[in-house]
Formats: sequence, structure tokens, C-alpha cells
Amino acid sequence: MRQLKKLLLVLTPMGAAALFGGGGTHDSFAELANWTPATKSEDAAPQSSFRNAKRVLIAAMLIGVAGYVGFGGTFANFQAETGNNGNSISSGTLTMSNTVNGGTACFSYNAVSADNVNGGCNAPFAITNVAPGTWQTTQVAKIVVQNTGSIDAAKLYLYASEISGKLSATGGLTQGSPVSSLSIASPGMEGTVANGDSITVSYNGKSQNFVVNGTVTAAANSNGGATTIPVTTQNANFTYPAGSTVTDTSGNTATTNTDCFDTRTSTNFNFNSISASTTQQAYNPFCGAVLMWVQELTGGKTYCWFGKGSTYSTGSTPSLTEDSNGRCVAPIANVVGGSGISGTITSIPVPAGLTGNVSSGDSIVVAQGSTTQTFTASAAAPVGSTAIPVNSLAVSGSFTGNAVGATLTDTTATGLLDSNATTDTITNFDTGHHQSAGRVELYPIASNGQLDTAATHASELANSGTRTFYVGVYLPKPGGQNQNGLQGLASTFGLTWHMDQ
Amino acid sequence: MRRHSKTWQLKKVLLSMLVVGGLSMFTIAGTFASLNSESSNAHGTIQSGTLTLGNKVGTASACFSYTAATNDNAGCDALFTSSTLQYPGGAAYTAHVTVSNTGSIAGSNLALYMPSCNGSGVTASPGAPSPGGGNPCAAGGLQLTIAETDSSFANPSCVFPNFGGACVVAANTLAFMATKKDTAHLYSLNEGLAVGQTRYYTISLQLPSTAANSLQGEEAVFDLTWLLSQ
Repeated sequence: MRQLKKLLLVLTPMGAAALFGGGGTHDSFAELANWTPATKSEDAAPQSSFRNAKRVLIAAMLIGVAGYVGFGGTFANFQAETGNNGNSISSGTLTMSNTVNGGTACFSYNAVSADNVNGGCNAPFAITNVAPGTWQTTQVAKIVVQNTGSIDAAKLYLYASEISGKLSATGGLTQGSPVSSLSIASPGMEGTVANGDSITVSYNGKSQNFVVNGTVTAAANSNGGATTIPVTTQNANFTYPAGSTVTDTSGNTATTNTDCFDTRTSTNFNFNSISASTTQQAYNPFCGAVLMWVQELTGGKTYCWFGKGSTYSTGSTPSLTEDSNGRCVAPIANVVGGSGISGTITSIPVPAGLTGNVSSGDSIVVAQGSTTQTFTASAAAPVGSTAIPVNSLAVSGSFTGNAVGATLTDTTATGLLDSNATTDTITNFDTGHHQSAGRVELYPIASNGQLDTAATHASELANSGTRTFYVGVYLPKPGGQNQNGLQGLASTFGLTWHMDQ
Repeated sequence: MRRHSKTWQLKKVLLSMLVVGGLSMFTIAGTFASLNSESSNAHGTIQSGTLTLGNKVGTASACFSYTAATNDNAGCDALFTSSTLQYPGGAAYTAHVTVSNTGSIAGSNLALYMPSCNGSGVTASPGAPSPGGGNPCAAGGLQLTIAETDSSFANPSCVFPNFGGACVVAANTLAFMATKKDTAHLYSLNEGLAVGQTRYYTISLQLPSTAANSLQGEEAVFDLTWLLSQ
């Protein structure tokens, strides 16, 4: 529009000159420009007088047009001006990190999928050779979630990961090309993908929905790990590169389609079916047997978000916890610290901090080699405590500390979990708390066992803020039950931490 | 007129964009959350171990618990057959049994039980012309001993009916073991089996020298089960 205006402005004096001067007085605009007022002798004839008037009028018109359009500001008598230049506006950031057991932080912002969603953070567990009722230090993981951005997160959620995977190195999609199958990178899809499921491929803010069209073959001896997903053919709406996220949004609604899936690691058995167990949960029996808890310890305050000790186990709305102090029934996984224990003691040192909760009266078994001794807790010692107070007792022999320290087990806690073998399972976490329903909103903890759920509560994870969680898993040993159906199995599962502005 | 038409068209385009923008704002607001961030701890695994038992009689092939549908294989080889008849004061039957933990979890308790011992009304084969009608599984019947040995089945140390040293052959011992009939009535060998560990046993049976005539031509048919518990 501005260019058009400029053109018109240039044409206006030329057109006017042509209109008024075209009578033969001036042959060109240059000639007109060179015109000077006539002398008196030249004005003798009446025709000449008319021509002069015409010239004056043309000149006045040109000056007027030029003055109006082009030079109005140049010849103002007085002027004043200020300029607010160099303005800038920059956005803030909302990113998070996720650190497992003090390892390398995993950031949301540098995922291959380029969408501030990092589905590849460290696994909290890689536990092998678990027996019912036993406890290993690897069965609890400390996860620190931090807001590494510059904007406070109003909401922080925890929920079961969706069934998902990544496009393989050769599985990228090309915009406009037909897609009839999705190739998934190893280790394949986490969870069971079924015919008819809705699949979303996403990358850097772009996404496309597909529908599974055909039988999806899981990994050998497994209910998950599919690396090829047949879909109803459609053209890709974008060029999705390798590493793009593939999500099955139909999952986590039943035991047959949870993110948690079972794999038979002992394939020579004929009593450990993972799809038709007759003695345990029929599908994914190990996912349905392993108990989980999520204990928070932030700013010295405790809250049990899932597991025995929390009503989140069966509901999606926080209310009074099973434990008014906000402590899950969480077995400890520690060794005796310091120089060990000997003589008569009233406290067992655990300088590294307890990874579970000890209640007053709990039986604490100290074991080293074939030597064991049982102490009784004289007071509660919540997660993070650096010592367990015990009733005064002489140590039979001695137990060493630190790296080769004697192991500590709270057999009261494990016993409580043995009798609570069906509620707080990984399966129930997945089906009760997933992306589209039952997300666990991690409200700020007001005090031990009490949340700040007021509408005006503070941000759930302020920028630079951290929240610390202990996640544990335990295979219970319910009395009188044969659990041979759980031998030689492995469950694979994920947890998702999500922040909203 | 043309200019007016162009303006109208421009207005139409702008109005359309306004409508689309408004609709997207109100109808799919959830899809475009202002800012969010997410991280997942994927592929956590927890894997169970195994507790399985191997059982080999003599030099036969090993029999494994896990080949049965409940990890309870009742089809392993028999210890004894009736190919040689027993008589009071005669030599004892002996059988060598090798028991191994073939799983990945230690078994803390190795125990025995006898689901059945049937000697009533069972006639030996080849049968005596006139069975006595007694019961070798009952009191006064067969005498049972079990000793743990080294891998050559030498240097026995008794585990039944007494613990340690040589086994004391005693009356009513098969009858006693027959009372250990299920998992609620186990006979513990007071030892476990570590992962990969093997134990060797010699099992002996004999008629007491004082056996009654009622045991003539009778047969004891029994099952003996080895149970390894976590």
C-alpha cells in the first residue's frame, strides 16, 4: 500500500503538469522546472497575461502538492521528538530436570523429540532376582524433580507413563508419503499395543494421529516391546524424524493395556504365563503383584503420594492419608553407617539418611553374613533420618559400618506390605493414575501429612525449586499363597512428571 | 466500486480468521497449554528370581520341578521297585538321590513329605500265594533311614530318623514319615540349598527282623516329595 502511495505521489505533479502545461507551453516536466517569472515586456499581450496566470497556478499547485505530501514535516517552525527504540520482549522458560539417585540430571528440553517432553530419563530401577518378601537396597530410588526454567509451575503432576516408544533410526516419516506401519526403536513400545488403538506421532509441536490396523507383535516372551505397528494408511502431515515420540493413547485403562508389561525371563517354565496366569492376575501378573510407593520428603515435610499410607492408592482426590504423618509403609534399604555398632546401643547410625520410614515399635533386623540381631525402634524415624532410635540393647558381637556395613531391614514394614498385597500394585497405579484420568497433583505440603490444596496455594514447583521423592517397589509374600506363577518374570514400567505453567 | 469490493473481501478474510482464532481458543484450549514441561523415568524393571529343584535317582537323568505346570513335578523316577523281595533281617534296599537348586534364589529350607503310603490291601507282585493282610506303611512295618553323603554317596550323616552320625534303624519309621503327608506337616532336613548347590542322600528301607507274618506278600507303595522353600 505504501509503495502505491509513493507512486501516486510521483505521478501527481507529472500528471498535473501534463494536464495544464500540455497546451504547448512546456514540452516537458524539465522545461517546466526551468521556468522563471516573465519580465514586464513579455506580459504585453492579453494572451500572454493569461498564460502567465496559468503558469502561476501550475506552480502554486505543484508547491502545494509537494508541500502537502512530501515536505510537510521539513518546514515546521518548531518541532520536538523522542524515540523509544530498541524495545525487546523475551519469553521465560518452563523446563524441568529429573535426577535419579544423584546421577546425571535429565532435562525436559533436550529430548530428541524436541518438544520439552523427555521420555528417556534414567530408569529408577533395574532390579533382578527378586524373591517374595525380600528386600534389596536397589528397590528404592531417590528422584529429585527440579524446575530448571524461569517461570513458576502452577501445577506439578505424577502419573503412569503412557504406552510409548520412539521412531527408529530408519523409521522417520516423510511429509506427503503414505504411512502404513510405524517402526519403533529398541527396546520397542513400553506396554501392550492392540489392534484399534489410537497412536500419536509427535515431534517439535507437530503431531499426527494413526489407528492401529492389525495384530501388533510384541517382543518374544513379552507383552510389550513391539517394534512394528501396522496402522491404517494415511499420508504423513509432516516429516517426523527418527526419535519422534510414538504414543498409544488408548492405554492404561485395563490390566491388559497398562504401561507396565511383563516379560518371561525364564522361558523353560510352563507355570509362569504372562497372558493367562491361573494363579495370579491373568495378564501381566508380575505388574499386578509388585507393590509400589511414592514418598515425598521436601523441606523436611513428608507426604505419602501412593502406596500403603496414602488414600491415593484407590482414589484420585487427596484427603486424609492413611498415615496422619504422611509416611508410607516404606521398608528401609540402608546399611549401618559410621564405625558400626557394638556394645550397648540406643541408636543405629544411618548417616546416609533412611530411604524408608521406621515407626515406633518396628522390628529392625541387623544382618551381616550369617549373623543377625533384632532391635526394636523406640521412636519413629521418617525417611531422611540419620539414625534409628532403638530400645537399649547389647549388641551380640559387632556389626561394621559404611561400605561394608551390616544391612538393616524393617521386618514390621515388610510384614505390613505382605498383608497388603493387592491394593498398591503397579497395575493399579497405571490404571488409576494416568495421563487422561487420575493424575496425582502434587500439591505443596503444608505440614507432615497435610497438603495445601487451597485455590490460592503457592506454585507447586517454583522456578529453581526442587521436590524430592523416594519411589520403592516390593514383591510381597502373602501368607499361605503359592507364588510360583511369578517366578522368572520381569516387569517394565515408567513414571511421568509433568509441570504446567 | 471495485475498491469497495476488495475491502469487503479483505474484511471477509479478517472475519474468518477471527472466527477460526476464536474457535480454537474456546474449543481446543487444552491441546495448546500455554507452557508445559515433562520428563519420564521409563523402562524401570523389576525381575523375579527362580527357585527350582533338580532330582536325580542313581545315575538316571535329572528330573526338574519346573517341567510341571506348578513347579511341582510328581513324575520323577521312583526310588525303589519290587524287583527284589524283602524278608525279615535281609539287606536293606538303598537308593541314591541327588538334589540340586537349579534356580537363582537360595532355598532356606529343604524338607520332605510323603503324600501317600499305601500298604493296606496291596499285594506284592509277584504276589505271595497267601498275603498276610498286614500294612507295611503302618506301625511295625518298614524301617526308613535317610542319610546325607558326599558326592560319592560315602561318609553318611543321618538326617532321619536321627540327625548326625550313623542312622539308627528304628521301628515304625516309615509309618512316622507317612504322617508327614503334606506341606503343613513337613519333615525338615534342617538345611537349605544355596543357588547351584547339590546335596546327596542315601535312602534305605528294610523289613524289621521282627516283622510279623502278616507282612508276608504285602507291598508298600509310597510317594516321597522333596520341597525346597525360599
